[in-house]
Amino acid sequence: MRMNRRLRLRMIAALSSVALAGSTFGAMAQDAAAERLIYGVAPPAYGESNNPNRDIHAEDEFQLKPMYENLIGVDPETAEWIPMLAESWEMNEAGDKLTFHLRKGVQFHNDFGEMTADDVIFSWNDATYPEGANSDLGRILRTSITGMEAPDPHTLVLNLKEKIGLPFFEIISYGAAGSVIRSKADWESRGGGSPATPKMDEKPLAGTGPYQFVSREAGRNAIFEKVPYKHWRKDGEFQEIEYRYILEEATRLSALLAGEIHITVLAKELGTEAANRGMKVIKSSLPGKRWGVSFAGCYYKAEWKPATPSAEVFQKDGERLYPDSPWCDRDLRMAASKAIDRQALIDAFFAGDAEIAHTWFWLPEQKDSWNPEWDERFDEVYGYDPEGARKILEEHGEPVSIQVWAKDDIAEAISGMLSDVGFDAELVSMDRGQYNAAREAREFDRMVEFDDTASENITGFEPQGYANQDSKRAIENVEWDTMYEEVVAELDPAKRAKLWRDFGDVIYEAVMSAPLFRTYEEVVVNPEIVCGHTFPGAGMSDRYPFVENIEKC
Amino acid sequence: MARYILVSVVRGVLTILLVSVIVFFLARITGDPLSVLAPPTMSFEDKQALRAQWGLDKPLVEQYFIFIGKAAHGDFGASFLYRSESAGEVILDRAGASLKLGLVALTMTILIGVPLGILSAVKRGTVLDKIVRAIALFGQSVPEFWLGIVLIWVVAVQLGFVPTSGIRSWQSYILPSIIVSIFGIAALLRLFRSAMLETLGTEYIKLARLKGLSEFRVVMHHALKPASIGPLTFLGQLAVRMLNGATVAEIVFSWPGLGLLAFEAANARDFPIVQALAMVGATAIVTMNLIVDIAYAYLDPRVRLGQKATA
Repeated sequence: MRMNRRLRLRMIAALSSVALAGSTFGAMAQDAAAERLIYGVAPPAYGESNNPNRDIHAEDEFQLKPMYENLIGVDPETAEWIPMLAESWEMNEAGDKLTFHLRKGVQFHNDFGEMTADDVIFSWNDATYPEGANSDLGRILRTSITGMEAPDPHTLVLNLKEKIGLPFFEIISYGAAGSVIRSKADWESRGGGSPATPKMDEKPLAGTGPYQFVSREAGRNAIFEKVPYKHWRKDGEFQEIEYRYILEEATRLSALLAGEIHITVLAKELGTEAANRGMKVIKSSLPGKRWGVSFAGCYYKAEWKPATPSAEVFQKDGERLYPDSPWCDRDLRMAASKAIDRQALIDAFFAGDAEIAHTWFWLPEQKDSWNPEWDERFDEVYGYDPEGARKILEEHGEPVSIQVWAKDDIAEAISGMLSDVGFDAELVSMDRGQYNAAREAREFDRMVEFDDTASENITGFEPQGYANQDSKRAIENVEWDTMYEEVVAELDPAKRAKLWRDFGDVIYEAVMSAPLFRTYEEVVVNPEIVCGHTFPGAGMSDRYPFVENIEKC
Repeated sequence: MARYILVSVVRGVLTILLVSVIVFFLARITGDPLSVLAPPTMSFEDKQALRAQWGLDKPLVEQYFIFIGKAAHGDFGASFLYRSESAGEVILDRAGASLKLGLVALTMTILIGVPLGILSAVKRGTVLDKIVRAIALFGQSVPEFWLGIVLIWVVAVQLGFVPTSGIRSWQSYILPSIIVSIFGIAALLRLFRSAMLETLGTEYIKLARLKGLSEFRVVMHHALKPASIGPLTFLGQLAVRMLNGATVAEIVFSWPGLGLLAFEAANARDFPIVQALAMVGATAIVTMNLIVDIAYAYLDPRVRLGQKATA
């Protein structure tokens, strides 16, 4: 059937109008950008919820982050803890009372009044009871605290049943999930109850952040607007922030180039592609992302016990679960470290944009706890030396078989390097959930795990290096544990820095793990919309929060 | 006819039950949801409390009977990912996006696949036939993921004609529906071509032509209906697949539908959502098969009368 002229003209007109309407998408997005910053992010991987005290995983905390604050903040330039909703805090001499002095005049959104100690108690209790909260705070409050009091509206007193250390402060800081402060009055106006979890089609409880909630659609986005008054801490530069969920990175790149989003996080190679096409890469303040290799398998036979000093759980020469684990041998750990060509990995996987790390958990920027000898001796103890590694294995005598978790391409490359020097390395393919479960069940006796962290360095050491906990990544040594317990129990920063450095000397010589490299966290932005962004990239802070520090052009 | 329908219904119910057993136990083989959803530092007591809350502390068989008993009333339990929502609520919230995309894709499939298949058969051996068959080959071979990203790059980024992702406007449907429908268009086109060629070669068609009927009438009135029987079966399956959520397209285009939800739920081991999606999908397929069976009986009286179809 021939298409008549009229029909042909109508089709041309229809296609042209689609093209014309469509071609304005980028322009419309740019016009609106002056008011709304659109942040392209992967959807929350562990679920969406309106209760950040109970249900939101640490990696997904960004979904409501702009509207909430914590007692302790994180400096966006140094990643150190700073006062936030608490102006100051002190421990009494007996060590059984921790007192927080709250900031006065901080207002909740939507006219729910001033933040007081009652709101802190309400928020923290919600993270604690009933059990089952997806939050570290509840665990510590249940084990360490007999009760919380508010002698006046701006004073919070925690009655302690045991000494509280650094982990508690980390858990209540801005970088952690589960301890944000929400409005008790808001929840009571909705009828109260426990847990304090609004449904997804309701608004989350009022917070004190520089942005307040506008709307969210599960699986699509979350939108916030600047509070209509001068914020006590910092006013955001954009009137609105939208977190737009885009799972696929290639699609996020496309959306950025099309002008539909203004800032996003991309894999290195896609970030480079974006930069080649006119976008701008902004780095974090610190190279806070630290990569390394841990050795799992040198376990004590005894089971770990929570909230118990390690010396009461393990014995110094206690029986080993896997006496033949190669990772109980320091020389073999050293050989594994010497097998890894860190520069080659940096060139291949980070386009050369990373620096070799001489330790995994000690930061050279923290001079009080850094030993310059760790730099001087790095090549001797850890550095790439395949011949040295082969020599160690030859002297060992017997073939050494190990397993490497095939977590990603870098892990597979590391496995190849280990094989090249003479390890009999077997790649083990498992998804993360299965792997974590098996490791926590101590099923591995010779596993190599390539891992990364942007955690606060002292508290972040625990899952990697402390025996008496459940992640089971560590080379278990009760003497090391005891030293570590002293570090985290010390609240005086100067004393703690010295203890931490002394502990570092021990761990460094022991080759507990193999540090690899440090990288900056990066965001990719449209330089016509976003001129700057300050975020630490360390201290458990991911890139998605600190939106109030995004600078508008 | 009534007996025919009753047998089909009973067969469908048994199929759904079998699917429920398979999905239930297969989901649990993947491992413990807490190993994915719980933060590494979650206390043992908190994990136990969550397990009890989610019913995972009970024996597997008991868990299954609790699940199937509630599912019969439309209650698939609370989602592990969306803690304040039930699995049913989450699915209902996302179903609309998949249904709309699926309907658009299905419409495109029929409007493009059927006419092209007929045209290709009628113009057999011509350049037009070759072009159409090349389109079919492309549609059935091209990886959806790759095509989606290429289309985004060219049409959305370079030309700026449509949005790159999400549901923003009616233009948002264009690229995802192409991806969802391309395989179906190709397959339907080939099925119709094949069926039409077979039907157009029959004696009664020759008679119709000899009687002086126009070619249009011969094709559309006499040949199309019997030729549709085979492709109709495929169209039914295709419709269910499209309406249930096209996972690849939804991931590439961040389309907040059931396909993306299934991907997220499977990764997070959200058993209630995975099970619910499987049951909904199975029920949809069984229902569609029933509709197709009834349509068969209407289109081909030989089926209605219980006789085997002859070539």
